[in-house]
Amino acid sequence: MIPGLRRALPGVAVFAALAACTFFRARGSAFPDLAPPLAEKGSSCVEDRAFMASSHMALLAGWRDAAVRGNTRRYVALDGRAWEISLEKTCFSCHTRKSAFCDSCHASLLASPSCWECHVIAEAAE
Amino acid sequence: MSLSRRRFLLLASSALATPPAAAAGGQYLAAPGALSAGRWALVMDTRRLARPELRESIINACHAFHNVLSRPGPRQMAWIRQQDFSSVFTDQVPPVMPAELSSRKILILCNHCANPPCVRVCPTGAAFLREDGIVGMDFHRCIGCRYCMAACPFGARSFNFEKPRLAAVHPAFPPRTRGVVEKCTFCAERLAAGLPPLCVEVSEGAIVFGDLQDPSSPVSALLTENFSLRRKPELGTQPGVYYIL
Repeated sequence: MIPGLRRALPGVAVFAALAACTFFRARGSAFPDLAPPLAEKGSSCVEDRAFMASSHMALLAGWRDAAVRGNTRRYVALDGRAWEISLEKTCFSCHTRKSAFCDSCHASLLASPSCWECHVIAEAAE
Repeated sequence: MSLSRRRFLLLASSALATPPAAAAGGQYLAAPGALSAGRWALVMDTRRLARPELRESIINACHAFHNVLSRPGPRQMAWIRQQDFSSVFTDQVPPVMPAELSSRKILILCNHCANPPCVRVCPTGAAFLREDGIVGMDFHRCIGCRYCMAACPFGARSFNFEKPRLAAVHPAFPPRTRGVVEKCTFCAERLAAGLPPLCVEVSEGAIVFGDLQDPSSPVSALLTENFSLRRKPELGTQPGVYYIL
């Protein structure tokens, strides 16, 4: 046994009850639909939709290291199409509205990537 | 079974550890048309940089392109700036020399040393030495400790004390954020696109850029025909920026 577990049990019980509260309160309400709107331009993304949805962060991290550290700035996707590795020139050229495309999902998931501290996107006038 | 505190923490943390993100699918290649070299070097013909307007236009072009906020003051930032010969080549100034030369303005920038002290002290690998001799900066990894600024004997690095508030952002090169050190990168992103560094392009031929290991390159030709100086050679950092006087 872990020493002192008996004394800690009431505290653990209170924590478990509080943590369970959130589940009971949210019961019945649906989690917001996280499917981002399609890009304003272009017919398909760098990789397919499922890959981009699950692994866009890994892809972007790979792009970042390849371009900055490896000086390799061309990405050949699984379907053979070649893309220039650039957030501004490639990603933002189709996904022109960051607030609708990136922020809606990230806000729901409380994800706060630091990309936008430096990479700026001039959004088209609404 | 008795579970020690140490073992409990180990088990709990291994359970919380996230699996590595799925590897990205495609292939990474060098951009077609990218310029490459064994050792990039930059040669400044200071005789041809006598006009103040030309030097100003070079400095302003660099800072506008790279979104460098160069406001005068104690926290002024610069990727390229100008100083008198006697304060640039501190250890190479004879007691008596032509007055024109001792007060000649010299453009100074990161020397892209072959033995860079900034890279040696960087704790995160944000400053790194590329195979082609460029001392690169990975702004994503910089934690703002400023060891590199203390280590650089040329004062080539600037620190973002605050989030840069630029009048107009040039979108091709993202501005850095607060707490990040920055410096000249020999326009690595322009080289990858097949273009020379911006200062070379706007210098009206006074600044020449090329491969020092290629005997037929313009820098090799210029350095063969003219005597040149490098800054603080006694420190052994092996700068890649040469000055013809």
